[in-house]
Amino acid sequence: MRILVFELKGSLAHFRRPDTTVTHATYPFIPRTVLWGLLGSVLGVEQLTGENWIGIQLMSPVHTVAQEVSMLGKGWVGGGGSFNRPTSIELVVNPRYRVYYAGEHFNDLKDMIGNSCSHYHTYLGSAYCLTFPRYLETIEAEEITTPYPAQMSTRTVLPSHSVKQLDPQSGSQYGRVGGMQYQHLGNRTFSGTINLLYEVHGGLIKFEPVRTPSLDAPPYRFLHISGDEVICLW
Amino acid sequence: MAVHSGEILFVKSVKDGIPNRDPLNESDARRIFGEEDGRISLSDVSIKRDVRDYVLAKYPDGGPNKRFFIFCREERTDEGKLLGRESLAKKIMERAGLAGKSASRETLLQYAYDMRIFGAVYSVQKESFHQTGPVQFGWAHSLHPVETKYVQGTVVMPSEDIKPNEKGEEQGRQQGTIWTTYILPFVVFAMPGVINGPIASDTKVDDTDIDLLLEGLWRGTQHRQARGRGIQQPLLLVHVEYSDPFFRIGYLEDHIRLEPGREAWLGGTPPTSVQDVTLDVSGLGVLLANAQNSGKLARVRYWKNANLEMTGDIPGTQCEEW
Repeated sequence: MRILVFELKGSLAHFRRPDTTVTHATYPFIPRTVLWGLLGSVLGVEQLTGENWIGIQLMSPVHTVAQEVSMLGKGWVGGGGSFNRPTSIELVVNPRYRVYYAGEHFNDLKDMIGNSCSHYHTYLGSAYCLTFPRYLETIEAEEITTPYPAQMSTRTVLPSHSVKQLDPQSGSQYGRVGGMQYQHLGNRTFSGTINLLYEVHGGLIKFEPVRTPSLDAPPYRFLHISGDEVICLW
Repeated sequence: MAVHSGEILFVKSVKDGIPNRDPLNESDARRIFGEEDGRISLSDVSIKRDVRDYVLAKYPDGGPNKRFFIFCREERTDEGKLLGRESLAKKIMERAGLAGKSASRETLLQYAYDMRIFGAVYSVQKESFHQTGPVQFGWAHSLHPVETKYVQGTVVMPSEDIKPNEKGEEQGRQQGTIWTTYILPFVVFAMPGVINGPIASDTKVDDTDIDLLLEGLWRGTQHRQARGRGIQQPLLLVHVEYSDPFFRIGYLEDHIRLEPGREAWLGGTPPTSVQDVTLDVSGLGVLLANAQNSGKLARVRYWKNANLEMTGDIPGTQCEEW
């Protein structure tokens, strides 16, 4: 399978968790819906359609900071006392991601990203978190067929339903994101959620995969990239 | 003529003040990267406010063809009540000579400069739209670590006025109110920005709008003077325009460096003025020259503060300050 590999980085990111109101908390790394939106921006379409598979590798440790900013909103609609509405936001600091893409837009995305082009702005969750995709390479990766082997190693984040058991490594720190939105339907409406596992520093995750994926959960696939290492696309 | 896609790099300095404070940290400077890294930051909202306030001051009557009203502004009724979105839009319509007509996406983009250029989320009872602006700024970050100082002072006015007690004797405070604040001696920030040609066509942004944006960045910074915010000066403004509407170099701010380096800023005598620093733009110059050689650039313009010492060349036209 042909995989497009590119990187995204920035000084800040903010991937707002939809279940937060007063304080705008962020997901620790780029969600699937944001990445699909970014790829749509590159191609100049409102909504990325069709079959698309993405893998996300953290290239910098997850680190967040809270900031209070003045937003203009409910506080000044209808004549409240203050022009500004103080809002606390959580920001991801110095995010950097390696993204693996396979799907029906492979050629167009390779053409755009490979030539340092994007139709619209690209940003990491919020418009003030500017980023720009940097093309790395195109690789031919071999898909691993089910039933999956008893042991795998990856640096990409993993759908938690793909993992039967983690093999904790000394010095590693594991995180889980629950209820990340899965699909954007348009007009800021979403369907489905997915839970993900990741190594906080972007290190190697050794794990025992679920041998045969469930048909009731979001699909995923594993591919060999080098040596014993695999990537997970979902 | 259609606006070119492009990028902006804006470098500004602040002396004896903090331009954008962190309310969660006793109004000290915003520290995104932590104490150890030492850099401080300035939100995009703060810089867009400088542009808006400058345009508002320059064109209080909307300017030529009434195209330069500012939607996002503080305006109150005679009783001191703040106007909300619908009333602010209605005022723009009245001042544009369209009293009685309802504000739509098209009319607001035509008459409200900040909506046209920065975008807007507008939602009132009968009209609702979300417009991404062709111009987006990132946060500005300092090019060096910064140590802020905690200072204290008194004002001559006390917090309470004199008033007679029950015996008719005047009672009052013996001294004025004590104030405390964080301050920094000197800092240089770099801020990236992007201009998207296709969205500019959609919101009908033209070259006049872009020129006003650049002028607003420069002069809005000069006009943003308040004791707490320090003395602000624009140092360098680079506007890169691309011949291909979709091409972008990206991360221009990664290619400039400030001298002296980190150690000097953390030592006992850090730089305290523009005359103490040099901006090295040689990396940026190489980057732009490469893009120029490959035919990707339509134009590069830059504005430089006469007091700024710079090493390296920017392959473009140096323009006169406004």
